[in-house]
Amino acid sequence: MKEKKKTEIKKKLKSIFSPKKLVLWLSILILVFTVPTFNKSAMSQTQAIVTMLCVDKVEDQIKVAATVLTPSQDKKANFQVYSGQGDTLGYAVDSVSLAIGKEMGFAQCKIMALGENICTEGVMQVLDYMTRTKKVGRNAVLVSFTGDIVDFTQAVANLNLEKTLRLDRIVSFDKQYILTQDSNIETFYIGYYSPISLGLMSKVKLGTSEEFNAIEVAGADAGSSGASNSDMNSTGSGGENKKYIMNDGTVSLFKQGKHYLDMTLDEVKKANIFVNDAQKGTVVVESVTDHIYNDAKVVVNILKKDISIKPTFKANTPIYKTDVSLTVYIDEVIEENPSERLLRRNQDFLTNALIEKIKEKMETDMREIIKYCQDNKVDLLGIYKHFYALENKKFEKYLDNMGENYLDGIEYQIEIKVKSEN
Amino acid sequence: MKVDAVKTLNEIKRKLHDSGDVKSRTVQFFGTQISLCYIAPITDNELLNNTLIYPLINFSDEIKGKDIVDILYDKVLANQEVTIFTDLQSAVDKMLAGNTLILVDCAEKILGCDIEKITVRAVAEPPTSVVIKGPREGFTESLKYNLALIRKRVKSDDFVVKMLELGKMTKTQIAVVYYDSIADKEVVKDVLKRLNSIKIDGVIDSHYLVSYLQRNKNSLFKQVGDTEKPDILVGKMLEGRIGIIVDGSPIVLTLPFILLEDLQNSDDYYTQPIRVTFVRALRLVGVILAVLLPGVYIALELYHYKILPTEFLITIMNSTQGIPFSPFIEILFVILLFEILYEANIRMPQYFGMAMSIVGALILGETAVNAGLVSPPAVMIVALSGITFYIIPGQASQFSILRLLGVVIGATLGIYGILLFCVFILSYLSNFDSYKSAYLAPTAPYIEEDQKDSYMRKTIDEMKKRPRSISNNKENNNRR
Amino acid sequence: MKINYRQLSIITFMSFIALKFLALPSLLYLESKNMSMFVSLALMIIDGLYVFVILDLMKKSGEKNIYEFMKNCLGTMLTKIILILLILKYALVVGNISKGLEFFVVENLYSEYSWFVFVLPLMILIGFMVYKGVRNIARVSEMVCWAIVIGLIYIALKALSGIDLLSFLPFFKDGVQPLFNSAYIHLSWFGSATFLFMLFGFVDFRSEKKSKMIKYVIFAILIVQLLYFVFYGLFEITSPTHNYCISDISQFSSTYSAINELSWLVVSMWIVAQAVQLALYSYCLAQALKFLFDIKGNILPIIIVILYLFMWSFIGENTVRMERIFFSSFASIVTLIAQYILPIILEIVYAIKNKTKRNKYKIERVKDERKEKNRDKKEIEVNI
Repeated sequence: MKEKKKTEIKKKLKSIFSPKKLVLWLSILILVFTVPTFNKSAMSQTQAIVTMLCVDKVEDQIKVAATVLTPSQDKKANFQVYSGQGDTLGYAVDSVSLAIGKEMGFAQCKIMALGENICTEGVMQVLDYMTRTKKVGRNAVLVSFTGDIVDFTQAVANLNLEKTLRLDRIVSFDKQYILTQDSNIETFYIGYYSPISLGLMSKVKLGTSEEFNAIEVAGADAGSSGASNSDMNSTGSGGENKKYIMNDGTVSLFKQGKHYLDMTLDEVKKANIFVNDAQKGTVVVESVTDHIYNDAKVVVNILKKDISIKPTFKANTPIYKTDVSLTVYIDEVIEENPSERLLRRNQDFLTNALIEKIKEKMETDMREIIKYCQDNKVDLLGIYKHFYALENKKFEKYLDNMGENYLDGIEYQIEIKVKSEN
Repeated sequence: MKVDAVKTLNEIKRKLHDSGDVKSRTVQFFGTQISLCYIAPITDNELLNNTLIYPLINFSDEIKGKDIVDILYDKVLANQEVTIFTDLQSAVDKMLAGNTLILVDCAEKILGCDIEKITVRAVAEPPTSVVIKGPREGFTESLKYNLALIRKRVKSDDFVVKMLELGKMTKTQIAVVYYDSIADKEVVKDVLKRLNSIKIDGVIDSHYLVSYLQRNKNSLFKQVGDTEKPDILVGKMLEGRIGIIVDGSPIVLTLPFILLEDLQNSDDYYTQPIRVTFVRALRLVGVILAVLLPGVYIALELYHYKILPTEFLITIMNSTQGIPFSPFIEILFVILLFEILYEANIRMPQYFGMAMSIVGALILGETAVNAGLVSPPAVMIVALSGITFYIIPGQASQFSILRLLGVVIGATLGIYGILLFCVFILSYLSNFDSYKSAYLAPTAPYIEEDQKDSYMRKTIDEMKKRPRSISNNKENNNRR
Repeated sequence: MKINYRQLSIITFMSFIALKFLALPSLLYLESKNMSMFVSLALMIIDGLYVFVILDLMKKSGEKNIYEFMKNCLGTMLTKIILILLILKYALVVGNISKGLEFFVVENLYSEYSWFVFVLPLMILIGFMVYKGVRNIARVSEMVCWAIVIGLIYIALKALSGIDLLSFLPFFKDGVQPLFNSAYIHLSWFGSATFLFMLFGFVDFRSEKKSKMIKYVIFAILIVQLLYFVFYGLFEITSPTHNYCISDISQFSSTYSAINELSWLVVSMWIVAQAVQLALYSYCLAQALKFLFDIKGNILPIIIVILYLFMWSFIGENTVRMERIFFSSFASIVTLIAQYILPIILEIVYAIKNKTKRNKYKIERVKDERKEKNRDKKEIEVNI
């Protein structure tokens, strides 16, 4: 009897666990899960999709403004701006969420803009919260800005309307010219965690057209329709005093995650000479006089730049040797009585005198930026990294002596070669 | 058996339940009564008069002492295909197949003369496989004609035709054709065994045999190849396949079948190899689009907005805004609409179909979009996937089921589910071996020699060996 | 249902790259810093060598499966102990892959999810593939392998320009000690050749070309190293925060776009690869269970494996934390024995056994010859 029962149970088990039936059961289970999706609406409608997030500190409170994608037949209304405040960043974001009535989705957030106040206070906690908790992609472009946060966001949202003009593109426009080429959260992190703890960020300014002397970048018809006035959280930039954003090439330097100083475009360009990625540039030399030029002002365009950096040690003195070889062509020549030889187009006008002048100019520029670095104690040129990687032991010993002022004891050797494009 | 011209005739008529189309004629032949019995619709009247009755009446040779049946067989009907029957049943069976029975009074045997009237439509280009370049002949419903079409192309003593008769009620003629030296002997044996073991009332079309020939019953996937063109059949036989021709069906079955066959087209061998490689890649992309596109779309909409580029997301958001249905219902609705249109379109008379497709596809789709019932992307995506079905027409029916499954899975689980679905299908098909051939060969298992004619095609002169992907006689592997 | 040598090579290739592109590179960086590439390189080369050791054993075993082979060499008791060890190893790998897959899928593709729902289709798939056997897994690998390779190379090349070579310098700053530490702690992520044990008797060596396996192994090592090179070069010091190597590389390779473009296709292909790998190791686990408990049918071990897989959906939240607690200590020992010591023991025992057998055979033959001679003598005597 018992055996019979056993075989019966076995048979039953077999019939239940036969592969075909198992698949059937599991398929039914999945179908059960399918039913709820019948009235599941598209995720882009249940989540507020943020394309840009601005954070600043206003009167001891964190203020957040976000550009949220909103479906609409009117393309101008696609980017709506919402803002909120709170004691912490989390509260501020939640207040925006509350106002919209949707959860915020940051996966499409391509720009993080940080206001002046938060920059001076330190940005690391903001970045950490946004990337870790809110899952902002670490390739989001980082920008610092001046001016009112809501106005700024609104101005950027208006930029988005014209698809060819977008803040992230403006900021990383032509990376050959601007040092902060890949100024995203990831590179900022890498900079922050490196021994010199240096981060770079583009600085974008906000102002009225009068302030900028009508150097408009974009945002022609801002205001009127783009602004959303949801509850009390958001304020549209009024139609009357239009605000514009402008990128004048200023770069904010961050040390230990805090705003340290601003570099002007001129300084950035000088620093760029040391950066291999920044290939292009111009050199302006004045009063060139020889058999071709007659007290001329010559603008030379750099076509190609090769930089080799060799950190070495000579009896405990670190030597930072930079070889720059330039391929140039002459862009503009400004002189009062142009010599007739200039008419001969095929001739190479890169005369020795001009070359000497270029070298001289370049070297002074480079020396100036080194001086700038030494004065401000910022290692813009990656000197630490080069020495650490290539002359590790000696450099560590040297660091023990010098500490923070290590830039001062280094001997800088600069050698420049100039070639014509032909 | 003793034949009595009148009695036997009556017996035959009784056997056939006095069917109205059984006719008989009686003539006198040197004093002996001879009855001719035939089934009128399948007997050629002219032939009957010219080759049977006329010689019988006009015969004037000496017949002294000779058996009349012998005289008829040797002399009168010497130029006819005549069979001698000794029992009535087999004679009647033959009569049903178009023979005219000659009943000689007092004789021991019955003579049967084949003067069957073959009604056949003209050999035309089959609508299912139209080619731009290449032969335009297609099979017809007559087994005899079809064999003639093949024999016309094949003049080798190696070519074998094995005739079978299937169907208790229909007694349908079936021909199994193959090359003796190329086809795999075991496969031939297997196929013949399977065919012989079939017990069925009637075989009306060749597809009646499919379920007896396939290994995995209840499977969605096609396991037996079919073609409507003699050139394709010969091509396939030259690779070692076996053809099964059924009388009354223009579609010839081929075995063994691998998935790659549907990716190939007879046109491929008549055009440039580079173009063919491109087209085959296109077909592969077509398969993926046809099956997965709606599923991926619904998954993107329901779960993965973060994958989409922002501009694209805005476009989709704007166009799907204000649709009253949820995305899943919406896409199901559109698919349903398209399937109905498709089904209606095939069955509709041709002159009607044209107008219908315009009304259906254009106006219905347009109005649905304009009315805000469905969104333009949904219509576009379902339409695109629907069109790509017919880039591989042989698989279209399976694709439409797979597409539906893809949509359900995409809506439930998103991209992850679709990926698992793909792996599942690949894994399912990997185990689909039948007749000693792997279903996904030469990709899985990878067969290097056969890559010459898989996703790319080399020139004909480079294809020196027969494909190893399908079972054939491995020792006789050289094509020349 | 045997697989051919090419298929075996491809499975090996897939197994070699299977666990490498999830959390492993970021975990390695914690111990061995910028020298992590060397750790993975060294361990992968060792794994590659062990492939050939195990293959040698496999050839020696002929048609026998691993259980019979080991029983011949080591006896039943020891065999069962080793099987338990192998089961542990496979179970660890299955758990690791399934957990990795879960986090990977959730992190990269979904915003809201319930793994409970997600694991069900995975269970069906794995159950089906394991039921259909190793040939099925081999054929699927064969089909998806190239798409994965192309995807990996694509993302690596795309990101190659963003690499800072200086970040790899200086070499061996803290000596080699951290490298050994790192290698030992993360050993369980390696040992990619252990699956070969369960294929004993399932491989058709007729079409063998040794160079094919060597090529695939080298290719696997190169491709992993290429991606690690890109990963460490790209993320430098922030490497430990990137727990999903493959998706992170593809995300940051371009300046201002998220996973748009084609990168998510690569990410998708990776999910497929993981699923296939999961099937392979589940198969190994099912086989080992079958041998250990002498189970006759195929269904019961598969059900156990599937339920085990299901169990994982309730465990753990974070790969890194889990790794710290669980994998680092206990798993390393298991891997060390299962992958690196067992084959050598088997080789030695087999060699000794064979030697004694051969000796016995010789003695017997000598005896026979003597007998024959005696018989001949007797016959001669009789004749006389």
